[in-house]
Amino acid sequence: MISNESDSSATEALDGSPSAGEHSKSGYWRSLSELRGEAEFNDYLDREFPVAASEFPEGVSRRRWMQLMGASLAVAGASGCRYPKETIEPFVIRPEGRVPGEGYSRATNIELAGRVYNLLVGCVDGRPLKIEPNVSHPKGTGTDAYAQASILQLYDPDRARGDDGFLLRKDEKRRSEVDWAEFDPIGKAVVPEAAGENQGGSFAVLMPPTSSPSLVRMLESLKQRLPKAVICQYEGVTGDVMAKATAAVLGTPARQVLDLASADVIVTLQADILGNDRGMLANAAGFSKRRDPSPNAEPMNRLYVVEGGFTSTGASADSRLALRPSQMPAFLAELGRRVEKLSSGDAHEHPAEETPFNEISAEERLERFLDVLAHDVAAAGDKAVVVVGDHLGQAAVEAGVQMNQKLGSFGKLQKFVARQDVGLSTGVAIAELVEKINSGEVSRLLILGDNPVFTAPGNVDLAAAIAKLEQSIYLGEYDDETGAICDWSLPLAHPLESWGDCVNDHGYYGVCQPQILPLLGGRSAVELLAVMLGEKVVDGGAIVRRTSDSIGGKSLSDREWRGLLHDGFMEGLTVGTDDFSVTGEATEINDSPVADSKVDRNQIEVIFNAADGLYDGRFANNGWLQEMPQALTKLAWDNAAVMSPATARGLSVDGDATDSSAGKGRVLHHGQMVALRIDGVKVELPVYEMPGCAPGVITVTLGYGRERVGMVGGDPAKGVDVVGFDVSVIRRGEGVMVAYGVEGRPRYTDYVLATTQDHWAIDEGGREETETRSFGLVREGTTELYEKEPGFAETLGPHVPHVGANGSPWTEPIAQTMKDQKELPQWGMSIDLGKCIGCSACVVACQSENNVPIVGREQVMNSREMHWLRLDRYFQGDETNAEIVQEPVACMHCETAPCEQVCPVAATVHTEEGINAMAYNRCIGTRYCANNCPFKVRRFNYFNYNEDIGTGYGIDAYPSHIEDANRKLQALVMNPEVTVRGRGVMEKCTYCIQRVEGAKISAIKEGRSVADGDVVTACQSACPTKAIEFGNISDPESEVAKKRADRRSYGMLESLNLKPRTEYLARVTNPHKRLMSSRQLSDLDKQSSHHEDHHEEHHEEHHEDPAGEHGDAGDSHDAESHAQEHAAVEENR
Amino acid sequence: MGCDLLDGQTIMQRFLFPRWVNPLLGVFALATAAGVVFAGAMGGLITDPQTLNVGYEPTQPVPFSHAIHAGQLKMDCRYCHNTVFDAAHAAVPPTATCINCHSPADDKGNTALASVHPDSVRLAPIRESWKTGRSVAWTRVHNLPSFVYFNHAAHVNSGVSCKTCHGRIDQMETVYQAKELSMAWCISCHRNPGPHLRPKEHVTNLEWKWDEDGEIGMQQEDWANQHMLETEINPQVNCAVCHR
Repeated sequence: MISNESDSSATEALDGSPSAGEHSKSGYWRSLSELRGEAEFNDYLDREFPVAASEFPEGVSRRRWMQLMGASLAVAGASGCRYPKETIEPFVIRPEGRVPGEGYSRATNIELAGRVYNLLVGCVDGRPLKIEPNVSHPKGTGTDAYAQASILQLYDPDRARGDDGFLLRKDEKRRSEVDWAEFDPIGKAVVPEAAGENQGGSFAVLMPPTSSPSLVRMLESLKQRLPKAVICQYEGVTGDVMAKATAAVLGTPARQVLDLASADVIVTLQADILGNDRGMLANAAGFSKRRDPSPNAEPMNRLYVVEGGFTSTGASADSRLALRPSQMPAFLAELGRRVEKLSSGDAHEHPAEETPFNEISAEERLERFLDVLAHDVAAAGDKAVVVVGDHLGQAAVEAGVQMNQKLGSFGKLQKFVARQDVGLSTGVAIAELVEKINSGEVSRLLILGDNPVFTAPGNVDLAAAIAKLEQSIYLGEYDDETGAICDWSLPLAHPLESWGDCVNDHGYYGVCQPQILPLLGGRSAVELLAVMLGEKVVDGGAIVRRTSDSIGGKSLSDREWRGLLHDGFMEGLTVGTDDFSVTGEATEINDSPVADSKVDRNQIEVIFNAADGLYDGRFANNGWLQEMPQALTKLAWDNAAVMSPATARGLSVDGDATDSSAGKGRVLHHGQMVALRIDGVKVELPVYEMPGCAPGVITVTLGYGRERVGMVGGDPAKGVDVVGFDVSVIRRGEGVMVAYGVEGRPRYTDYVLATTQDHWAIDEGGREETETRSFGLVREGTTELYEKEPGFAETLGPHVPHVGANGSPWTEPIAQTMKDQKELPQWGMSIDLGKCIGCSACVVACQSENNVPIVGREQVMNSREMHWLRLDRYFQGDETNAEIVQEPVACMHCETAPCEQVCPVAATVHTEEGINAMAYNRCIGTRYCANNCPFKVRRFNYFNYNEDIGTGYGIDAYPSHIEDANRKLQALVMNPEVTVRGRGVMEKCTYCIQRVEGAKISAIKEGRSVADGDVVTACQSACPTKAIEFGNISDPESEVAKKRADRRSYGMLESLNLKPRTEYLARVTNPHKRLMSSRQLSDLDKQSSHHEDHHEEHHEEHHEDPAGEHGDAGDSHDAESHAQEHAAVEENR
Repeated sequence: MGCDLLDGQTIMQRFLFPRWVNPLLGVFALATAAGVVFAGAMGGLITDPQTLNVGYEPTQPVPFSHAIHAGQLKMDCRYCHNTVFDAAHAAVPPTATCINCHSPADDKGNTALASVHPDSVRLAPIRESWKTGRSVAWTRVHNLPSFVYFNHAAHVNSGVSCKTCHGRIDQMETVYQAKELSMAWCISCHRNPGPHLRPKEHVTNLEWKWDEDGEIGMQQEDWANQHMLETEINPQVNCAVCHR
């Protein structure tokens, strides 16, 4: 075990001597246990399979297993030799234009968890199957994991209230299943009755903020009928801090819209603009537009991130500072003062030689960071934008807006758009609503979705209040914690099965059109309100059309209406975005921020974040999102208290001592429970040690620990375990996103976290060896390095000998094919690591497209997760000051694939077009291929995860969530174009072969060849930053070929002569030189010492003479290999 | 070999075959070998697609005769299977297509003049379906395993006739499976598609025969080679073409 001290010395060693052959532990590492060389990680490496991978499922003995196996074989034998008899049941009248079995897409616009998406929904035979972004939308955004996974929620059988009726009605004794017909007369009576009680003063609506003009229209007519009714808008995560701040500073509640594509310097303070923020998709698209370092692209932006925990934004940062949230308002004020000074001509000296940024003390770091940041912001002027996160509260958000006003970026980079529901809210917070109910003022409550009983802050007892009501009606997707205690639990229709509308952040009005009739009898909120208001028009479509008429200012013709539905938008049909001006001055904060590295265990700061997959818990029954490894922590099916190792040590010391180096007693560490206490209430959850978090700061995620979700997300009443821990009890107030002064106490009981962190680690022995020759599997550099040597990814990498025309002494079959059949496309992929923000949209998109099963928590712990595409996360630096690089890894489709050479039955073979194909029905499950794959991208079906949907073969012997997660209704989510795999079969990324073949067949039909852009893989289409490119690499004009020709392009483990078809563009970050880490500086040195004499001519050589016909035999070997490789590339074309 | 019995001993005695068995060993060996060969051959023959699948002729809810419709009346295949050039599936027609000709009597009992066999007992399931709105449940004849992704459009657009895989449907009273539809059978054509190609306009004309002196004026082989070059027909035989 390596202690911290030797760790930092190793860092120095690397700086001092960059000589090849010297391996240092401070390269890249994937987890703390790897860094420390702990036994746990070595276990992963030493065993051929992770622990328990070769064991029988829990609760089934070997003997029983064999019996069951025998039984299933016998049954299989008896069922006859011919395929089972199938019937074909055609339409009676086939709808016009419908082609059975062929896919089609429909535009729609939906709002999920406060985000508005402009989408195309891919459907087959009337069944929505795949979410894609609407690329023709002028201001459309991409997709994220929520949008991609929404399709699974549509088919979630747990949305059903029961078998005998869609609704649940509660009376004194029991709850009964009834139909809408029973509710309608009661619902219709509510408004007239309430009107008689103090003009509706007894009636309240509890709902989330909304972007739907139709819903707003309905609620406004409700307000007309009941002028004194209370409308309480409650956002479970942020508490709508932005609305309050904008109301104060701009005069009206508005939404923040960032134009990051025009920003040169971006500063975020606890604002996860590329992660949890509701504008994340647009932010990611804008941000990534300026992340191309090539000389002909727009200059790169620079992202400064100040945050307490580690977020996706922090991982994408050029320079990041870990700071406690309590210090951030002071940090902002101090930054403002310094910028002002610099703008007014103030100047000061900087030392010429400085210690690298990662080797100085926390105080010095803060000071240098502030200084450099102030210079950059002052220089950028109105091209700099400061984004303050909702976490820091209303005052800080206001101060941020005022700062942008001073910089001149307000209204340009940081814009605000009026909300659709302005004026709807009666300004009653959820706590006040509860008071009103308790005092008897409100006696009837209508809750429109979002399960407020669970999401309400810990000190607001909404459940008790609801019990006092005379009448409570809940319209929700599930019969959840809220539904269970209301008089009426009504099914809310999923956005894919109901009419609706929403306005996106650029003011475009879009209709949400149903793709399928409500599967489980749901109604939309608009339809429910129309019935309750006794409107003549209660059909969702008609209501929405009337709204679009009023927005268009005229009655839309049928043709225009169809156009609006078809395109998903209509030019001109927009809601005006107002110009705002800032009023008021920021509150003066004269303190300076303090970087305190001590941990006071009575003054812990706890940051609450929406869970990556579950948001506020509303997606808890979505298996894809539960199993999606969360960004950075790579936890699945779990949440934890994420803290730096120093914080964990600080918590464990007895008494008031805060000396973190004290080694006495027991030390709290990863995987042990910790108790967090505030106001006498506490929550216990496991510790997750994450380097790079500010000392004394713990990050927790909301949305876990729900007790009434379903067969996936947990329901103790039905024997399904609760997933994770509910932390909302220690949230003491609406919109509290940081709790200060929390007491943390160790519990030392062990807890096994389900994480994919160390899984699929490429073995350390081999990794050490490769790291000495390459600089990691993931390559990155700085803009300065890139300017010095655009080919740094290659020159700093291993020396890969390229011999002959094919790059190796042999002629591989694929090389021969490429020569003989030049007309064939050769598929390949390019992934830009500089653009990837690690949002996991690709992971879920792949799961959705390729029928990748959900395996459940227990199997994730056994390393049996099935994702074809994973996001590897590498740390760099040390425990206290770490950086993160993320890298999407799927099958590389190596031209000389090692997996193919060991398959005894030729179940995995190459196509003529360079795709490493899997023939599932040929696979006998030896798993040799997975063992021989250096990238560890092959996944084995240890069980028949799809048994319940009637495919594959196998036995019902596996006692966990999985068989419940994939019940009958969920069979509908399966993509008919992809085989559903059974037990005992290996699978992996196929480059979406079904899309490739589909494009080829379309080309045959149209009598042409496949064109560039015809094939878009699922991951590529989902990516909000367009980091993934796919196409024909033998066509030099294709986008992917151009990207692969970029000097940044490298193949992972190229030195094994694998010739991967997926290549990466090395990540280039843009930190200020004073903020560079020792590694970044040493790379720069290495480059100049290595190439001092050559790099100039090198440069020219590659720009003017890409074929490399230079006669300079004395050039370094790197240059020579370049030239040869370029020649080889030419030849291959 | 011998059969020495040790009298008086209580230990378990070894059983030994008598000597006269020895000459029969060869016979046993031969019989076993023959048995294995026989079982193998039978197993092979029984499970051969030729035995298992060719000739499969299920009874349909309506005894629809392709021989009458496609053969005698010369209706084009695409009148009913109209998605064949556009889609993976050559869709079975909706009830409405049948009703185009076989329209039943309306509520007042009047039948259209052009209606064919409006009262036929055999057509009762069609009229039932039309009245109730429930589909007719036809039995699938040509059934590929679910891991095979066959695409009609890709084939007919390249000039592979319906006949190549389905046989002379226009002469069948009841449709049966005429070809093996096995993987080896598919691959034999993918390796050498030439002989199975014809001009696209004749794909659905099952009677059509190559006529050297006629409209095209060249040998089938020459035409096929030229056609394959021109339209880039290059059927592959790798797994991913059909298995995804």
